[in-house]
Amino acid sequence: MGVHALIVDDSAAMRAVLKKVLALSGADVSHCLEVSNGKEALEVLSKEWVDVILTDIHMPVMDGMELLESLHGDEMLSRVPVVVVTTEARRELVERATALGARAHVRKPFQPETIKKVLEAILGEEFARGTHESTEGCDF
Amino acid sequence: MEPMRALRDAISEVLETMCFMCPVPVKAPAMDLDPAEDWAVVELDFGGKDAGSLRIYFPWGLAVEMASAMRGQADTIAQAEETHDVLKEVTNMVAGSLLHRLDPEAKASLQLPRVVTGAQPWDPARGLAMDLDGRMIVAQLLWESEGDN
Repeated sequence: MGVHALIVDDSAAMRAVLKKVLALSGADVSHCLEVSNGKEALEVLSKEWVDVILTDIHMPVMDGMELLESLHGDEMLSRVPVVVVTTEARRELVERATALGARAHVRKPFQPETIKKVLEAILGEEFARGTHESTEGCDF
Repeated sequence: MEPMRALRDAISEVLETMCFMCPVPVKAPAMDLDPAEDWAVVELDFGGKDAGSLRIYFPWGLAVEMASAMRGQADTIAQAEETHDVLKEVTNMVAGSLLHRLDPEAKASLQLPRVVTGAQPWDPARGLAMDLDGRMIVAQLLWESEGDN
């Protein structure tokens, strides 16, 4: 099965780049969801389970930090691994994101290999082989 | 690091990594950069120890190519909205990379980038130019302390 990823970025181009990086990493991206801000992400997450969230920080409507706060306050959603992909490198912001449960921080611009390694570390080596078993519905 | 060198390195990093383009630094020209004359201009404000703005001028034809390259659709001509989206993201990444180089302690903050309309003053003495196969991207830093904003 493919990886159920949710890409949250206000740039359609960046969402396309991340989706392409996932595909190049060997993931089946047919289950990949994409939205343009944190509010839309929460709407999707109220209906769908995902294996991983890749989110930007600076977005209109609801930014990535507000999304992390909402996820952190939800017993179920706080279990979804979050990777912050952003131009921001402020130490205080990275530390706050980590405190809110972000599993990794990737600074834009990034090499595709960086995203791949982060997802391998989070989802396991089977991700790299394109055989990732979705955890949809699992209560882990 | 000297700001103009940091800006040049930041632009190179972003274009090479995200658009697969290799810009070459050239002498900043004195020229008319009116957005109405086939130039797209994107500006981004940043705060922190040295607050200011980054303004990048993209020739429209090159901007469309960059948009197609970044979106992975080299055979498709990007629409204006798609092109502006890419230019804003490129400017955002350049600013992030620039501030990361200038401020290793990473205390500077970024605002959302915006497309600027209308003629903008261009001062080659405070900017730089990068050549991409005969077309030029120019950029300048406007420091708040200098009263430019």
